[in-house]
Amino acid sequence: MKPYVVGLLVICSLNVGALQSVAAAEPSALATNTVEPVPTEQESNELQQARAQGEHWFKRMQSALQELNYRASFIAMQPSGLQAYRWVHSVTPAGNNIEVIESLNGPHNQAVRFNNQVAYLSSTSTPYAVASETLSGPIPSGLYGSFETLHHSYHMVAVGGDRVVDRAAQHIRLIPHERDRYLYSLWVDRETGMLLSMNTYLPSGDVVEQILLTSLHVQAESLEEVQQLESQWGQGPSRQPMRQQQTSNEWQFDEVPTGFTVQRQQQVRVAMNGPLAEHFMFTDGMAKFSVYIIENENQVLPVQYENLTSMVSVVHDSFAVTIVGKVPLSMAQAVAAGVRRQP
Amino acid sequence: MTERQYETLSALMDSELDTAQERASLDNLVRDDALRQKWHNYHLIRAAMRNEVKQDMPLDISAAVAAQVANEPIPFAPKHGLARKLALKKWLKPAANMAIAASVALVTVLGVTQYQRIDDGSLPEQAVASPGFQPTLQTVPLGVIGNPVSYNAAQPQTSLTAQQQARLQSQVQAFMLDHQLQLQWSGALNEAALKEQQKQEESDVKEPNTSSPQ
Repeated sequence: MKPYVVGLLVICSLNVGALQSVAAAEPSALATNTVEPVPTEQESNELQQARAQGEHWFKRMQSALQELNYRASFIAMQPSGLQAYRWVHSVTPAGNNIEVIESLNGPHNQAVRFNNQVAYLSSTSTPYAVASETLSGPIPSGLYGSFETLHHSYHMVAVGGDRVVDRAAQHIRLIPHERDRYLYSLWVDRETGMLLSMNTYLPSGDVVEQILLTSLHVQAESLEEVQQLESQWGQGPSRQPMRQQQTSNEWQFDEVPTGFTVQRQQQVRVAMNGPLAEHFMFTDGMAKFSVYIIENENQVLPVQYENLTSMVSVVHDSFAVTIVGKVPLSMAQAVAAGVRRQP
Repeated sequence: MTERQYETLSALMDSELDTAQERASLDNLVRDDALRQKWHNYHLIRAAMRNEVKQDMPLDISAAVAAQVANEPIPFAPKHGLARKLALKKWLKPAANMAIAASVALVTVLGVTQYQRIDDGSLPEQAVASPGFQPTLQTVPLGVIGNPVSYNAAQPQTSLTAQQQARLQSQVQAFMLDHQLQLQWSGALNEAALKEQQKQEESDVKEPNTSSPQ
C-alpha cells in the first residue's frame, strides 16, 4: 500500500440553507425501507443486494478502523458548535493496538487507547484510565462493536458511490428497524475501507451531527509517533478482573424500545458527589442512553431538553427517573414514563 | 510557601525548567498539598485568561473521579495525579508534534470537565418559541436548549424561581457529566453479556424487558 495524503482546508461559512436542503432530501430515500408496498421480485432482489453490500462495506470499515495505520484529522459539527480533532491509530510491530484522539481547540483533551485500556487526559483535570475496548469520543463506539449486535437493530444498506475529501467513497446507511431513533450515514473509503464521514439524522431526516475527515494518511508501516508512545507506556499495567456489582433488581422497564438491552447496571453517585442512584446503561449497538433511578424523589426536579443528547427527568410516586443519551427526546420520555417498581 | 516556590511552580507550568530542576520540583509538588492546590489554581487562572473557562464550569471533580476510578476495574490508577499527568504528557509529545497547524475555536467532550453548557436566557427567541430540535448547522452555535417542563401541574414553568433555575442547571449538568463518565466506563467490555441478553430476549419475546438478570 502506498502512502497518500489528503489535505483540505475547511471553510466554515455554515451555509445553513444548502445543508438543510441536503438533509431534506434524505427522508424520502430513507422512508422507502419502512412502509413498503409489496415489492416486486426485482425490487426485492435489489434491496437484498444493497443490504449485502452494505454489510460488506460496514465490516470492511470495522477491520480498517482496527487494522490500518492511519493519521487523520476531522471536524465534528454538533449543536454546540464546530470542533476539530486529530486521530491516530496504529498496530505496532509488538502487536499493540494504539489509538489517540485529541481535541485541537480550547483546553487540551486527549484520549489514548492502548489495547483495552483507555487513558483520558485533560489540561484542566487529573488524568485517569479505564478498562474499555473503545475510546469514548466523537467516533461512536458502536462502529467498533459486534456486527451481530448492531445487525439486530439496524439494516446496513449500500446506497451508492460518492466523493468525500476527494476520495472515492461508498455511502452506506444504517437504517433502524424502528423509526423511533436516530439514523446514520457512513462514507467509507473504497480503497482502504477507512471511515471518511458520518452523519447522524433525526427520524425526520434532519442532520443532528456530522463528522468529516479533513486529512487522511494511511501507511503500511506502523506509525513512528505511536511506537514512541508505546515505548514510553511502561511495563503494561496489570489488569484487574471486572468487579461484580451488587445491584438492586426491583425495577421494571415497560417502555424499552425494541433492540435496546441493559449493557451495564450499578449503583452510582451522580457526578461523584450527587445523590445515590441506580444506573442502567442501555444500548441497541449504536445508540446508548443512561437511566438513573433515585429513591429520594425530592432531590430531582422535573426537567427535559431536546438536543443531540436528550435528557428528561420525571418524578414518580416515590422515586425519580432521569434518562440521558444520544436518542430522540420522545424515546427518553417514553422510557422514563415506563419505569416501575417491581410489585 | 515561599516566593521562590511560587516562581518555580510558575516556571514548571511554562516548561522552563531543566530536567533535574523539573524532577525536584515535581517531587515537591507531589508531596505538598498546598503546592498542588496552587498548581490547580494557576491552571485555572491561565484557563480563565485564555477565555477557556466556561460559564457554569463544574467544580473540579477530578479527585473524586480518580477515587472512583480506583475502585473501578481499571488497569492503572494515577498514583500521583500530577506526576502521572506530566509523564503522560511526555509520551504524547510525539503525537502533539505532528505537523497539522490548526487553531479553530470551541471545546470538546473528551474529558469529564468538558461538556456542553446550558445556555440560559441567551437563546434566540425562535429557539425558545419552538422548543423543537434545532438541526446541527445553526449560524449561531447553540448550547444545550434547556426547556424546563413541568410534569407536575402544581409547578408550572413560569413559576420557577432563579434559585430553582440554578438548581435545574446544576442537575442537568450533573446527569450529563455522569452520563459521559458512564460512557467511558461502559466501553465494549460487556458485549458478551449484551449478546446473552439479546438471545434471551429473542427466545422470550412476550416478556417485557426488565432490568438485567442477576
